[in-house]
Amino acid sequence: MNKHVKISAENVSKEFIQKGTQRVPVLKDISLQVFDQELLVVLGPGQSGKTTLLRIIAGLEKPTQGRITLDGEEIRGPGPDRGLVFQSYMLFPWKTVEANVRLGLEMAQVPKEKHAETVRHYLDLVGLNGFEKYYPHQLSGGMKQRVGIARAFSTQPKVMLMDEPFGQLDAQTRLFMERETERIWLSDKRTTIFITNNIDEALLLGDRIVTLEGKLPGRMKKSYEVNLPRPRDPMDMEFLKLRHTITSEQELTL
Amino acid sequence: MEQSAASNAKIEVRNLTKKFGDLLVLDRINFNIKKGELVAIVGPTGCGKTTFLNCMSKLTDTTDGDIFIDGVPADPVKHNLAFVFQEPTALPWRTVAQNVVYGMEVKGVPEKERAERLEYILNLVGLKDTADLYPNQVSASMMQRIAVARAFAVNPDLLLMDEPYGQLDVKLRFYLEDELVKLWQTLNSTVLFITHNIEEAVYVAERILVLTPKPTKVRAEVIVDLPRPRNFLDPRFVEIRRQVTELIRWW
Repeated sequence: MNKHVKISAENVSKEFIQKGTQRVPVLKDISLQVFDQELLVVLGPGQSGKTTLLRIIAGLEKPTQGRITLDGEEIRGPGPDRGLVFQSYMLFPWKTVEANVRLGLEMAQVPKEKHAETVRHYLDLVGLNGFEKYYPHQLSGGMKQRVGIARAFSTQPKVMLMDEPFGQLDAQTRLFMERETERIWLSDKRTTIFITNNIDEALLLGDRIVTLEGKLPGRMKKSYEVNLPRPRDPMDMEFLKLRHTITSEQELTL
Repeated sequence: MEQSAASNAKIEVRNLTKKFGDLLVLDRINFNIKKGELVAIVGPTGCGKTTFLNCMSKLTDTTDGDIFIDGVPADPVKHNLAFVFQEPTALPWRTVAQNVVYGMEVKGVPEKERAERLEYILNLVGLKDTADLYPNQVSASMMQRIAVARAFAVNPDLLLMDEPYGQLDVKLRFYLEDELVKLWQTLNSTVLFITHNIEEAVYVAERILVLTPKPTKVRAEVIVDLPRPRNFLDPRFVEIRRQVTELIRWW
């Protein structure tokens, strides 16, 4: 099978400067390829630099060394070709659900006459029709994150970048949102990088899972293909075996 | 109370009912816990689990019904009720050892016994090396181990645990669950463990109570008669996990 490389990271390292002079290495020598229409999960514990990696791909941070390309072009800053979903929702509290989604379209300079139809389509896709006029404070955590997903999807980015989007949700809502993400992704396939520290989530969603080693600087550890039929069953024996393989290759940090 | 039931049960919950105004949250909950038993409680989101725990710990008054410990109405002054919260709750100005000993201080355990028990429990949970560090110098999982050690150290009549390992990754979770099982077995404590994670419930508990959505009742009881240490890949383990999942999945 000939896979088209969508995103390619070449020897990416990142250091932050703290308190003026102190160098804090966050990522070390990350090389990684993401294929077209692939759902790649980056799985790492806290303090493994995974959010920084995503922010570099988003163009919100510059790597100290190495480079990242999207369709062969080096990433030099943020752009509408990449849609972001944050852990902390990042909705505008004074805007309605509809207006929050429309904002993405305005930023991406989508022609105005297309706004209404596009907003309706993506709110439908995430199951929020009927809530167009609600404000974020009237929504549950899961619903807020759906607004974030609709906003990111609606501009038709080439790539979706999702940073632990369900970290704040309770277990039951989380499972439901994971199923929803899979459904949305299957119906509107997009190259996606999904960051998480939850291995069950990684195995439910990923075509492939890349693990990062804990403790800074984060390094790439391994890559696992997840060849399980969708939708996946977290109690399926193959699922559990693969989970066991991945966890036994991770070190225990107390 | 019938004497026969009382003789066997350490904890008896009888018709536990809680209303907030007209809103019925807990609806005549009944169950027993034997001395030295580890019981897990699982239920759908929003099933009134916080209210339930607050009632069990006597932090909140109940509307009707009561909780009996050794046949006597539960009383936080007379009885030893310990609680491990979801978020780590260590006092930042005390060292790890001082945090672990804190519960015993509050309960007025004599100084000599306090020191002995502290030593014993620090060794048991492997906190010996970090005993003199302050909470901001240890990891989140270490903080949760402090809270667990502190709770076990008071030899509680009933230890209530509110999803203490909910946010941790699988490997660490299994490690701490093993530690919990070891503490429970060694100290023969009576534990009520609340969780959303069904796999966790099957891993630690001898018996699982499944709650309904509000107004909350006990929907079912599942006995987990698997040998320890348990293996999550064991088909019988998965079967029980499925059974409990199905019992919850009718929201």
